[in-house]
Amino acid sequence: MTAWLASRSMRRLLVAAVCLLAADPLVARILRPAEEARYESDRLFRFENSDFFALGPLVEYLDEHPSGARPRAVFLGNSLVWGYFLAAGETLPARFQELVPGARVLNLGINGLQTGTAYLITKQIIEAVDYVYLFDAGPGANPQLPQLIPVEDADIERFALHPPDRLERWLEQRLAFWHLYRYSYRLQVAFFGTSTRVYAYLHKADIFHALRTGLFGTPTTRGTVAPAEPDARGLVLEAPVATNPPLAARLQALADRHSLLWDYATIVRAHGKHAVIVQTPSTPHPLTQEDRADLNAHFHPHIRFVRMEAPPSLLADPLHLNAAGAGAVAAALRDLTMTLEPGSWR
Amino acid sequence: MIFGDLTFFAILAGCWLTFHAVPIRARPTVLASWGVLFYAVYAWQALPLVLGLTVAAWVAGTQGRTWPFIGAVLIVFAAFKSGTDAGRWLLIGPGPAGTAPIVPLGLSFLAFELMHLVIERGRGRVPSVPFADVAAFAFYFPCRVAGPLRRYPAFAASVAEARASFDNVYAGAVRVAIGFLKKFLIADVLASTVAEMSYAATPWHVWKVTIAFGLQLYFDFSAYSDIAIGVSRTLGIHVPENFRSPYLSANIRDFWTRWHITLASWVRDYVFTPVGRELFRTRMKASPVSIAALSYLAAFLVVGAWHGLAANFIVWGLYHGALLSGHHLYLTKAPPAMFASELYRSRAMTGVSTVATFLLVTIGWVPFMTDLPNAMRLLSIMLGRP
Amino acid sequence: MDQYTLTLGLPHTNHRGLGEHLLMMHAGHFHWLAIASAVGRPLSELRTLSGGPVYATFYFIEEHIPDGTPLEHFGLDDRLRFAVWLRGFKGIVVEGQMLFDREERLRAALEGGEPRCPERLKAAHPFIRFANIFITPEAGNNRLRVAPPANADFSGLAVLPPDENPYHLTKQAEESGVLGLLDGWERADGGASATRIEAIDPDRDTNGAGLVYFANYFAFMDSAERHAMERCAGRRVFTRNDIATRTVRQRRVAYYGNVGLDDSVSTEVSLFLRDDRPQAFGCRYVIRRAEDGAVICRSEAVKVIPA
Repeated sequence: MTAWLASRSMRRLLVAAVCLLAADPLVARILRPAEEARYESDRLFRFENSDFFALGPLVEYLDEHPSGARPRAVFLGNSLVWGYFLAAGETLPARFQELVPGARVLNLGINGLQTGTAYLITKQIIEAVDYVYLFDAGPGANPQLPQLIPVEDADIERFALHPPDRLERWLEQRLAFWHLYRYSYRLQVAFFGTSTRVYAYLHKADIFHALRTGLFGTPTTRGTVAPAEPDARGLVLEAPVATNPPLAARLQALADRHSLLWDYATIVRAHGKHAVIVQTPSTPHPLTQEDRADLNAHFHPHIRFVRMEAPPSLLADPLHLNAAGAGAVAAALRDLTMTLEPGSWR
Repeated sequence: MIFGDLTFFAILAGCWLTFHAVPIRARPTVLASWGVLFYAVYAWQALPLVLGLTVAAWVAGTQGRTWPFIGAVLIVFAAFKSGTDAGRWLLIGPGPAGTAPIVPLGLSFLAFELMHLVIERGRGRVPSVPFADVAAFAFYFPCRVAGPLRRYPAFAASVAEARASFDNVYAGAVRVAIGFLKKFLIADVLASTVAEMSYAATPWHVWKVTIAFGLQLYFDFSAYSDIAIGVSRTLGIHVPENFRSPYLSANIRDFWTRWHITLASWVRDYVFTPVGRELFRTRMKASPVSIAALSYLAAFLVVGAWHGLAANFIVWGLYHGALLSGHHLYLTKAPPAMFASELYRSRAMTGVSTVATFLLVTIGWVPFMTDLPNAMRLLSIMLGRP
Repeated sequence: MDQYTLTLGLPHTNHRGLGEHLLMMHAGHFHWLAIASAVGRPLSELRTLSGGPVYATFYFIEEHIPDGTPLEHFGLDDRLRFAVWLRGFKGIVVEGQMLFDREERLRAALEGGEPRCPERLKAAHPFIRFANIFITPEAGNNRLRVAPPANADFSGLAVLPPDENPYHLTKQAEESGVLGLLDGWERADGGASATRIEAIDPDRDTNGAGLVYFANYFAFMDSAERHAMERCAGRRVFTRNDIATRTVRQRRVAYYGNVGLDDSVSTEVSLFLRDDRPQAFGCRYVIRRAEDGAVICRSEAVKVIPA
């Protein structure tokens, strides 16, 4: 024993091990306030650099905290939701947050996200959110999703995803007692909103200032003056509801033809939550007006299927809203939500 | 990234425990077994191919069939590196239809290491080798992902002399940690800048992206070497260094003694020197400079092709061959007085030549990082002619 | 033990023989007769303390049909003998274990008058297990409350030990979504379930208590299963003959609620296969009522396509 300790390498290894052991219990304590500041305050949240790094940590956080201080609303969709061409504060979810300060709004948009991915994410987070705003961009799912969040085997097969490495997962679970390892991704997202390397890349010019703000800065405080209602002239947001409940045969046809949307609505309703599912002119194989009306009647009051069409004055390009457009759509969605559940968002 | 997987650490831990628990003569079998397991986990489709090449190397070495073996390896190499479907029949299991198969893990390194072994066996410099030792050399998993390229005699001696010690474990762990820091904190951050290549349209932006690429490539590649060297060190096995601050090179020849050292020395021993020696037997011996130029071009044609059988890699290789030929010509033809002058040997001049070398190497990265048409476009932007 | 006989006729059979949901109607009726006999009054007379109606609603059913006696084995004019053994739990739950077969096969086996359903007979003859709970409707079919009858005598029933009460299985299935028959089976349908929506027909689907009859859920599941098999395009594609000749071997059903008479039910079916049983396939059913999407029934079945 004494001979071992006489070796400088052994002493250094021991010191390193002791430091890691001593620091480990602190990790969870550091993580909690950092995640609260990231997810529960008014700090704007979106997937920085439009990459999925923060998805796994966010899903884990929501799984551990199924309710927050405020009702939660999430926006799921592609670059339109993420806010291509827009600063983080100008995006649709950010404008929605300004209009509904009583809720916590999270922007889960990401370039290229389709409804298959949204469905799988929703399955994991639906217990922890109250409202989902889904922008339907097609039925596909990201094949790498099982590497980021839990996905059932049946869904891996259904959407032809890449299955997770089972041996690696088993080893990770064995190592879960080591908090620094287990929470390394969550720490990065809590501090930086993304991975360390993406944060360093995005803020390389002003990294010290950004670090100070990111780690120690106070969350954005809400203004006392409500923002002006944006000009929504020309914006179409149709959400018809059939007056007569659709017959079983009609519902059967809808369930067969739009199985993913049907399954999505079923999951949300089964958990007693609400969802607004928006289709735009770029949505492939959209619902017809009649389809929409019948589905809205069937799933009322939990789900509302909506057709949205924005005039050129509200668009940055055919696929994306500009800042005014984001504000107008946010206001229209807020109004629509109140028809689903009067009294919400006050 | 395989080195970051827990599975890899599990394999390493298992290898470490068994490697130091068995008698020295059984160590090659242990290394070979864990190497086969490594392939089974990470590249099972290529396992029969790699096993086949290893058996072929042992047989070829034993029976002195050097050239047939080299020919077979080059055919396999070409089949995969050409980026076509040609190599698919060499793998087990179907791959995605219509796509070229991914090059089996470490094939480039494996091919050159086995060719070295068979050549040295043929020359009589390596005595009879048991199959277990050949398998240990071929399947040595720490160096299988991205080198360094090893030489059999040094490797075999190191395996026999390896000791389990805290010093080795500590030194190896520190080296691995350095590698991870280089990869995750520097190389991966630079990669985001390199990704801007798709929309870089001004000279400054293209230069920025290209310099970032050169730095990223260095930090990434040297990180893999650090991890391979560190992992080997934990086992007590020494593998050769692969990088030695290459961007501080004062000239292009110096650069190739500091960058991917093991590949450069392999190419020197098995292409440059033999080609030069053969050319000296011809009428060209009257022009040693021409012989040197041709030898450099041949050697760096091989270096380029080793990276990929595509026009851009060949161009990159020939570019460096041309630079080296030019440097050799300069050394031979420049007045000797110049080399003796104080200015030439001053630190300022060393600094200037270091920067010049860096810029020349950076320009060379343009064809390396993208296909040839795009490389031509970027080069013209770089030189102010969009 | 109570015994009943049934001569099969057109009301009990379909184009293939004894129909599963038709069997359930009559077996369920015998089960109720056995309860009425045990508690000393007809079930329609059961009341709560405050005089409200009490119904013995099924919350769990289990079937086991041996390979040698598929339901299709029984046809017109076959005389069947049903034997029922009852157990009770605190006047809230009654469990019945039932065997049935052709009278000549079962008569001799039942001569001993066993106090409990013999295990050796369960493997040789079709076996059904019913579990009922007494409920009273509070606000229509969608709001049912557990209510032990105040005017029934359960002292004659053997005691159902708590660990044999299938309530635990149904509770666990409510959370996990599985009933345990398909552990180790793999999806046959590429991960995509099929949904069948069926409107409740108040004239066809109700029983004398005004509730949607438990046996009709078997019919809903059959038609949803047919719908799913027609659409299955994963590891297996089912032919018309497969769909026409399929026969049940095992089933578990858990009921969680009921559905209004002017509502619809949607039945989601997932199909399963198992490598070591090439003739068999599995089904998992989730039945929801359309009004609020609540899950009112879960089931799993193992079925066989004869070679």
